[in-house]
Amino acid sequence: MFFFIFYLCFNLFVYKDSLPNGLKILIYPDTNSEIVSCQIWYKVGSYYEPENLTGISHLLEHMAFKGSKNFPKNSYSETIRALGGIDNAFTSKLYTCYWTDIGKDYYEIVLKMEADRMQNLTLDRKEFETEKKVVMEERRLGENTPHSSLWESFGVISYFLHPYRQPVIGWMPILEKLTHEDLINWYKNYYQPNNAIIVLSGNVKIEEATKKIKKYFGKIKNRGNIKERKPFDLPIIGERRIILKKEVNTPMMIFGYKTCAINDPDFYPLEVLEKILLWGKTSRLYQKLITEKNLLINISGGSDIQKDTGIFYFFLIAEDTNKLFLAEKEIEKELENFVKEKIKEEELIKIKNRLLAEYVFQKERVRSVGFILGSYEIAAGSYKFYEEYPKKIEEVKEEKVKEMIKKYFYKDNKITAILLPK
Amino acid sequence: MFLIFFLLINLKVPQIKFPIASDSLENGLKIYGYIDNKLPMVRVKVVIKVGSSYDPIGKEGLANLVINMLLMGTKNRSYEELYNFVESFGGRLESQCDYDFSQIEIVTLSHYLDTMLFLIKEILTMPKFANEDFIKLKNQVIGRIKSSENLPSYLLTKEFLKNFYPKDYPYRHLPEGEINSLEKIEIDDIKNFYETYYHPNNYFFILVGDFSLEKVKNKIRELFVKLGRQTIPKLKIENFPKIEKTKMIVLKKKEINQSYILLGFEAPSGNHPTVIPLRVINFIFGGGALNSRLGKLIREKEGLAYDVGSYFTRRYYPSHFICDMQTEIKNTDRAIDLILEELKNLKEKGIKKDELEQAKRFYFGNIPISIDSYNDKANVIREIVLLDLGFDYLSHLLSEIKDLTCEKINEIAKEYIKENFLLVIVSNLEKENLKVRDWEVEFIEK
Repeated sequence: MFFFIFYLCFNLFVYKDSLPNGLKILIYPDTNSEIVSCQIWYKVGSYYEPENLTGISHLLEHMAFKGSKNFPKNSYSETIRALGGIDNAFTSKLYTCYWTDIGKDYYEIVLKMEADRMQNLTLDRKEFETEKKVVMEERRLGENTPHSSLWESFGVISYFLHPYRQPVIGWMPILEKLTHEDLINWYKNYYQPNNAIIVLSGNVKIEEATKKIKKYFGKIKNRGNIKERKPFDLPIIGERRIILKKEVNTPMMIFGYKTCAINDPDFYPLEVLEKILLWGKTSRLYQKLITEKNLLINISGGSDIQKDTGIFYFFLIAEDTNKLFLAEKEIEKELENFVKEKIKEEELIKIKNRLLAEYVFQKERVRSVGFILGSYEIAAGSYKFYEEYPKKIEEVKEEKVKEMIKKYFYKDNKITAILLPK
Repeated sequence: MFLIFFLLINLKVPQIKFPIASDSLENGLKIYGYIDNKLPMVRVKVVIKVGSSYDPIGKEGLANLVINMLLMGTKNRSYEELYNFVESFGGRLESQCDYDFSQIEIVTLSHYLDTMLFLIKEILTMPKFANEDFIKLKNQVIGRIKSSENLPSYLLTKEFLKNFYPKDYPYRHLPEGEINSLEKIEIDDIKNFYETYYHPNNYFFILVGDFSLEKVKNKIRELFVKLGRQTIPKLKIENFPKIEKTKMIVLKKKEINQSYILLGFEAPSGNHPTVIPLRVINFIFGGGALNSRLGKLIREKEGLAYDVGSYFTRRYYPSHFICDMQTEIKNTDRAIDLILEELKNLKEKGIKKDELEQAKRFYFGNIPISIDSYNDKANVIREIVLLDLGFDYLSHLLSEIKDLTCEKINEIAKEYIKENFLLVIVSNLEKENLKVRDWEVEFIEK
């Protein structure tokens, strides 16, 4: 067994800049690709929403495809499609991202459209009412998916006050009440250059691309300063456990432990721990609970670490309730044993090798590189977090991984949501 | 209206460079390579030309079990040793069973490609096929099916396939099979299926990434040349899908608050001459996301659905065209009416010139995007080989699209948009809440 540290040399070259109005620019040039993934990221998502506005960032994302002053009704996607491009958007807890993949000769038009989207969205009142219905249908899709309902409940009991308890899509009764005025205010508040990042990933020349970005975004003025939100939560002082019942034929459970924020040094040993326990068919828990003991149909999970805080979770699906609870106990036992026993050197090296190889594999698609840069720039404060990742992973020691179990995986720090058949 | 704007943009019809190198051994094994030095990695797919379409009646799910059994261990290595071996080099090992093919895939750093090719040979030619592994695997698949049955969309697809295709047709079931058919499969079925279909003249290699073509060819030759060629039985199909009379099936599922709707009719095989025009028709009708007719009407104008669209499945044998959506239960009738109205419009009035123009421009510009990743490239090569489309397929696709006219498209739409269809709904609606229609209707309580 060996450790291929030489792949650490395989790194990203990313150009970073910003405009006087605060717009950040990240460019990843890849001349092997024939396309450019043009992305604009806004620092807004469910994290920023007060309880009476849950889902508004996501609804605004939908409305942002309805046209702007210079690109009226539906013309964003029509223009992009007519150039062979594809576009979409997503909203998460911390950000909203609009992305377009387009041939290398046409990305300028996307910049032009995104600049108009930032300043001049039409946000028609009638269209707002229609789109709200579309979003409510999207929410219903989740309600009809048992594991989505379980996730929502897990979020609610994980955070009593912190906005991470709110689903990105919003609560149905709140969605119904969102007004056109709410939407306009949200747009004016968050869609401005000092709250956005342009990410270009693909076949671009840095100088030319920067010039184009300046041309379309340089003159956009900020509407005001955005107050940094500093949400807080009640400390967890004992296990939180909830049981739901639905018409399902396989029970499921999510349980987890509160951990740390993304910039905490524990992030890396928790990454390694996640991979040892849960990564693929040779992971310890897959082997124990599926291959060996046949207790579960599926097990997944991981270290979900965000800004402010994180949770290390396990998601179990079993054929019957008895097996589900046995599996929960078995995992707790495994965690106890994990601290007592030595991690084999080859196991640790295997995990590190896989993580480093994945670091290479992730760059297959220029869009994925853009997603990585944008998300880390917002969630961790800098894309460099990703650049440093291989080195930090390489430095993780066995003792530090074990320490994570002692530090976080204890009964009074546990949160459990269970879905049982009616 | 906005067409005027984008027509002013001078879009170049791209010169497609998609150089596929190929080689074959005397025993019929074929190798397709695409060199791309962007990253120090290679995607290797071994595609076996046998998928769930070859499952015997009553033993649906067999092909899927066979490909997964190959990864349950070889005569030299247990299942854990197999995965640990690949993963210790940082690689990924996966299997897949589709309707027309089965596949083993390894993603590896280029440096370890030879080692991985050696392992692939071991996986393909020395399976352990232990009964205890088989029982475990079967139980896992059955468990996963039970879990999937919680999902309305899964029930919808399964019900559609079962009612759309004749009893002996290869696409009548999902690749993973049914719980009761899996229970009938024994380890000997696995061995027989493997002995019948897993021979070098029935599989091929696709490699995309950073590697030396000559070295790889030599390595594969060295590893596989001694394997013998065998006669592979072909499928005999007597009854093709044809919906003679419109039928609606409503599968009742408690506690859900939407109707999951799927409407479909017959479509030609994946290498039929009309496939390219049909793709363009579908792009205009429901395949082009929010810009398609269905997207604009049902989602954008009426706000009835989040997810609405249509597609032609592209398979070796004739299959289906479907439109699907999910909507709040009270809107079920309205949604069905709108889909039918749009289908009627398409059949009777055809498409407009500007719609065709936009579709053409989309395809001209979209090729580089559709082949951006190594995985995309490998999948295109797999489709080209399985459907025998020719290495110049991408260029051919563009030149055929360029020559399409509204008249030609409308002629094809008239022929392929059928009067009769199968409509399946999974919902919590009551019979009396649906309007009476002149169709055969069946309500199923789950």
